[in-house]
Amino acid sequence: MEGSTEMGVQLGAIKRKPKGLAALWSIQNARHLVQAGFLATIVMMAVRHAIVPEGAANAPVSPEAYCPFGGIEALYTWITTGKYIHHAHSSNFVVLIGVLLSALFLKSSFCGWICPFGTLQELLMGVTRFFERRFKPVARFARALKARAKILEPLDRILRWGKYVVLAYFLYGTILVGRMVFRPYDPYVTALDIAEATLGPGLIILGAVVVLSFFVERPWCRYACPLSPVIGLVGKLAPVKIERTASLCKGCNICETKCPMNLPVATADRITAVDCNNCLKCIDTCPRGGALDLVLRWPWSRPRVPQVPQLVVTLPGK
Amino acid sequence: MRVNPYAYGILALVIFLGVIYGARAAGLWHTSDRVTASGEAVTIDVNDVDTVKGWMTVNDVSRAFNIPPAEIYAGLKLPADTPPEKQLKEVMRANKMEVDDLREWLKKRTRTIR
Repeated sequence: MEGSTEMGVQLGAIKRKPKGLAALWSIQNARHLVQAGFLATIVMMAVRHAIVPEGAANAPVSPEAYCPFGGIEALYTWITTGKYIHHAHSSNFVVLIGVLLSALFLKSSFCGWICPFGTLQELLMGVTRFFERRFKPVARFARALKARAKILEPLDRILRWGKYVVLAYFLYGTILVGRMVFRPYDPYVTALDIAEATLGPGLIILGAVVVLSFFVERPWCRYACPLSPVIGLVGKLAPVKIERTASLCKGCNICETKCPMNLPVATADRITAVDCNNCLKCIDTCPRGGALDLVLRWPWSRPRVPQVPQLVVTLPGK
Repeated sequence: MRVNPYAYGILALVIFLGVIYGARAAGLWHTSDRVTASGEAVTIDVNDVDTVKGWMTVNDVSRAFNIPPAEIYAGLKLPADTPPEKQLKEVMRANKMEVDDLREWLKKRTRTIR
């Protein structure tokens, strides 16, 4: 489809704002719908698990059985002994395979579209955005905070390495001890079992993530999620990636201001960053048709320069 | 080739849910530590402390290893009035311990007796 994008917009033309029902059916609303479905399913499972006594005939499955990281933690013991470590089941491996397969083809689609803990953090940031829009003093405070937060950028860059440290500790501990060493610190597991939670590192970290989520987009994913580097690194091989066409981009930087992970979208040709969670907000908010798109191509091939219809101006007398 | 963002979302769902439902259909999906993958009830094997699960009671452990509950409580420094019909995970959580601590204690004790 040369000369127009998949969304039917002319390359380089200003996208028209959808109205009425079309405005409701945006990419972001579709994504939020999918996210809400997964979050509601997990919340329902956690509530049922807390209410129905264990041992009852209709005792529900623990939502922990759906955690892909349980699969990573259990992998070494399963390969070396054929046994599952405590709290891990074959379901954890299956979900992990699902996550890795989607990473292999679609990069971090799990993080941006499915992960319930990521959705929870987005919801909390949504509360901040709501108050920013409704109350001017809150908006002023947020602007002042953002202006001052610029000095924290070097710290942000350093802290992003935290997730690799967490992953290394996790794997080392699991291999050495043969059990889920990170479980007492895991805020997701604590949230799933909140009815039975006691004051400990898990609850403190969960509290910190909840409070930070009002001020920083997806703080757990950004700084500490050990699954994020695994997905991001596998996702480097994915054939579907976000690409920017420099010839169509006007450098307005809207994509960068909307990117929840503060990635340099406006200057990159192809988004391969491990931190990108493929929420597609950059594509959704880009005002130019075709300047930012999801593109299917071999991971090692170079981005293509599209043929843009040129306006030919003939000057009189020439 | 450009990819429609809606198609991307649908494909993400198809891959993720396809793997889960595919595994279920193939009988590879197992979520319980009360029954094995082949459907048999999980019981304690005295030669393998890893078969002690959090949903079991102090009485279950006491009977399997032939250790009186009082000795278990003393060994782990748990209150002597702990009801032996309580689930291990509840007992351990109430005393800020893990079921793994009990497994370690059982491992040491059975090693000492042998």
